[in-house]
Amino acid sequence: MSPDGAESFQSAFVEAGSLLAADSPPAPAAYEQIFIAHHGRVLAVLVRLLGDPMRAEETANEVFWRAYRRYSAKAESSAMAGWLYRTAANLGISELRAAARRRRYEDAAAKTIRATEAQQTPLDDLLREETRARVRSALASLKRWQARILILRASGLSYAELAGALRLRRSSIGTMLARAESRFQAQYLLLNGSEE
Amino acid sequence: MACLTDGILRARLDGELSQAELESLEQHCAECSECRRRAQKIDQATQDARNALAALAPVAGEIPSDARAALARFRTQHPDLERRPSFFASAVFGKRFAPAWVTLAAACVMVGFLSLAPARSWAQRLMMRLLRVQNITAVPLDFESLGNPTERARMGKTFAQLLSDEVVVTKDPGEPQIMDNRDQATQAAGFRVRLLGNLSEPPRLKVFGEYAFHATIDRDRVQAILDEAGRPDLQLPYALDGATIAAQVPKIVVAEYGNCARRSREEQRAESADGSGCIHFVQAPSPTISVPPELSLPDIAEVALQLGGMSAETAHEFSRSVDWGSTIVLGIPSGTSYQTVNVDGMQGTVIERASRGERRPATYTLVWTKDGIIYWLSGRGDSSDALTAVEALN
Repeated sequence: MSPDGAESFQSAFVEAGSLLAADSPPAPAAYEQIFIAHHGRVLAVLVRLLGDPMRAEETANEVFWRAYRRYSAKAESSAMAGWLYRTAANLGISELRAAARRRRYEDAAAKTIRATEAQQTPLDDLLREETRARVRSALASLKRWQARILILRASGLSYAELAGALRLRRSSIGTMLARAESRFQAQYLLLNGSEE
Repeated sequence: MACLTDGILRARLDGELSQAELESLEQHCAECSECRRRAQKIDQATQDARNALAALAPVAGEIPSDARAALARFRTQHPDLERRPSFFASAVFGKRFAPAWVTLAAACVMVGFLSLAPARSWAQRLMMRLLRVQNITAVPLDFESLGNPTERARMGKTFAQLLSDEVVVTKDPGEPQIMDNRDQATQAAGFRVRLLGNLSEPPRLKVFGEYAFHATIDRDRVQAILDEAGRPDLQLPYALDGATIAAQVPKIVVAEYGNCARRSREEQRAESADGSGCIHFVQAPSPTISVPPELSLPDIAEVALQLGGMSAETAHEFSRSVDWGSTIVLGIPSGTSYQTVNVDGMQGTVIERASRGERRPATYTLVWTKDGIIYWLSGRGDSSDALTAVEALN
């Protein structure tokens, strides 16, 4: 390599450019297949976490856009699928936690529902939304890995899929789930107890 | 027979055990009351969690059933799907390893640790070696949230230990060579060495040898540092785990003006009293840094910026606005101010730290890049002293 800094800089980027040329993004048609195969479950993860279907779809689109930019046409579809679910859970949990930080989520959500929807919403829906607010609040208070494994398992990912998405050994999934559930149970009881 | 793990007991509930595992489990539980008790406890926690989480399952109308309609909306948002965006991709997403500037994370974390006294000299040295700069942007950071100075110093030490464990030096620069004059330094360094022309005394010129290293990142270890720093909410990208970052650093020239030798406390006090000091003028061609293509520098930067006290939203926006292929972001610690200045026909950044009593006079650091060389000037005084010092650069 030339000792000249400018030359080494330029050569580095010439090399980067040539590498990029050989590394094309997924073809739109192939990417559409990936989108259609995984969108439903990615969206389900986000709806569980965020509640609002519109916001969940916006976040899902962000996940798929990031995936498109990240992976090349040669990427293995299983690696990409794992990445999609992991990223969806991470983004969803981040939003959930941000909401929890901004306000005391369980109280505010429950109060908002009572104030704005009580007159139009059937009792069952109202109760369901209150329960959901409490569950989300408990999830937001967990460590991120705990919330992530719980929400992805609840969204139907198998142990093999969880291992791929969370980059864990398959044999570790049971242990991680048991720990996360135990912690969730404690937090959920704590929050419910404090409200009643 | 050893007792069953929680993992086995839990996996049973999801039907994730093989037939052989299941038979072994049942046989063991029939004989072991402790495992039966634990199994019961896990069953209960699992059932409770399932019941609670089931409430989040979307009901009719909450989830669009048609993925194709969702795809159409996605395509409306991203009409340029055929073209991968040029946004820093050319620098990062290579087939194997694409050259790129080292991450903002490293920059921010390292610059942040500049404010941690015990790690200061280490960080300063390392940063000069790691970062490649074509553009410089400064952002104020506040590491106060990471605890008191003692705690931050401990964190700095842990981080330094981690780096020293992970870094494999493949080319050792050895001891710097002392040069008699500029021509000799230019010949040794391989680029034209510049000097501060308006200082009367000749500098002491040192040429540091080429330096190369690679490091494989242990994400969990770095994450543990974040957790211990009270920021477990910040999650590093998983792609970081096992990522190998390699750097080749060309020769660096340091010109020292004044008394820059290691001094005793008494000598430093005497110096403060008479106003003399030391000026360091560093000239460093950009190193070549390689990072794996799957490593998203903005994602790492986002974490680092939040660690530096930036809000999640601002960190996200900022990290997406920078071309990490050519820019180094200087994290400005609290207690210092900075401004953009014109220097050497380029745009530079001058960072000032105000005087903190007689023993700690005001200091400046002026950084800019020109023709692929990073220039770094530090000394005692303020920005006007810095700009005066470089007036007659030759």
